[in-house]
Amino acid sequence: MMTRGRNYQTEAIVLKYRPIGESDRLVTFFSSTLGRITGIARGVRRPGSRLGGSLEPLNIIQVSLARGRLFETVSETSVIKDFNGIKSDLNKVALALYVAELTDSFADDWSSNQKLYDLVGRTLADLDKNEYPLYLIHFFELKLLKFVGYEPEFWECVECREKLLPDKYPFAPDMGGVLCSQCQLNFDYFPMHISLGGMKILRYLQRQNDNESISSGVILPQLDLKEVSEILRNYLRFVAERQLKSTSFLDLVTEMPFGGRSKFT
Amino acid sequence: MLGDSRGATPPVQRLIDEFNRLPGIGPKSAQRLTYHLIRMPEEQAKSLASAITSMKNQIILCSVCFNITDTDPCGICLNNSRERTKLCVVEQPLDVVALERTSSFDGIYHVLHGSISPINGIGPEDLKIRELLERMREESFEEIILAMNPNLEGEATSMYINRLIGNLGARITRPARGLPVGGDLEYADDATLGSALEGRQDF
Repeated sequence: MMTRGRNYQTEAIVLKYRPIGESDRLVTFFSSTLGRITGIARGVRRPGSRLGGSLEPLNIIQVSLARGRLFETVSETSVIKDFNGIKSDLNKVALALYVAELTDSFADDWSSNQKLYDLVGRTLADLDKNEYPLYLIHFFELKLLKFVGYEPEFWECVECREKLLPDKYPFAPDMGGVLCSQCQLNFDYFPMHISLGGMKILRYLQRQNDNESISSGVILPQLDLKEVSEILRNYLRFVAERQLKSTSFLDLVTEMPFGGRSKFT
Repeated sequence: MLGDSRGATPPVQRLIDEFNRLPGIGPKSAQRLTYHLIRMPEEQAKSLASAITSMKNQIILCSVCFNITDTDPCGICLNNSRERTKLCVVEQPLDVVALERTSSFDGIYHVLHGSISPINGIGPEDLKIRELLERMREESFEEIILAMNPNLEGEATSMYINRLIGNLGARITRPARGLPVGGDLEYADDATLGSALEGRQDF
């Protein structure tokens, strides 16, 4: 079958795939230079296919694509990283798939976002090699929001821009931040309130440039962390305009009582 | 008529649309099949229709292992000469067919009907995992083979199940990962080759 069009190569993270036709897969990648792209990998569901193994979610690959008339076709791949440390640990897999789904939901098609790409790459590499306390995911969530232009405002009132002292405040997802005691009087209803403890954690996480400084010996109160988790989840869902599907499995695995070597605090 | 079926009469179009839904059958194949059936003797066409409805009526899931069967429990579950202390857990009914073809397994099965795929919204509650737990309580197994597909979803599923049943007393195993017969070492992918080397056996 002839495809008219250029061949090109890029480094990309495999985000997800789904079957189409009898033996093909529609694969979604996040490319370092091209943003989110989707391509068809032909024949990968047939037994002899060598292509299929490299197109696993979370793999970082060098992929060659051919621009076709209707869609891109995957022609060749080579695996750069396959993150076996993540894939052999249930909790890490659940967390990494959440990272992949967030990236899939927020990355733009055909629009390069180098900062986001580096963030995702670093997060997966961290997950792969190290212990990864669950609260580090909130660092990822905040940075992701920043790199896609939806950074929530926790330092100033979103309405009047007055600097806010550490305290509890209502959070308005549609306005992208918190409101001061004056401005909140203009509104009837707030879906979320952030406590002082929650506010401190959010501000702290936002201030960090990388997660190394966070994981070294910081102890964050559980109740406040739960609150932060809920606030960020709700905000992400609001911005994404859809319910994320991987969160229920993540919660399930995190709370599982049995077995193991759960590496999470 | 080639290529444009908008002129087809409603009952013909309806059949074309139904064929079109099937995997691997595109609009042209659907047309070809439909027009073939139009030319076919009536008894043959009726025979096809009735084979479809009887299959759907008679095919059920075995209430023990959830394989596709026409009797409940299925032939494998009823077979007393099988090794009932060995349970092989698989993703789909076709996996049972494949494993039975090898004649290498004499135990019984449990079919999950899928694998965990969080990004696609498929969680443990969508599979026959709770039923597996119930079986473990009611029957006593010496060995449970987790024969999921060797991909991320299959791995996640086996790890999840292992965590659920790992400390219930049975030995949990998984098939070896290796080189396909007739294949070439040079063309094997890294993961498979690595696994095959790790699992090497004495000659």
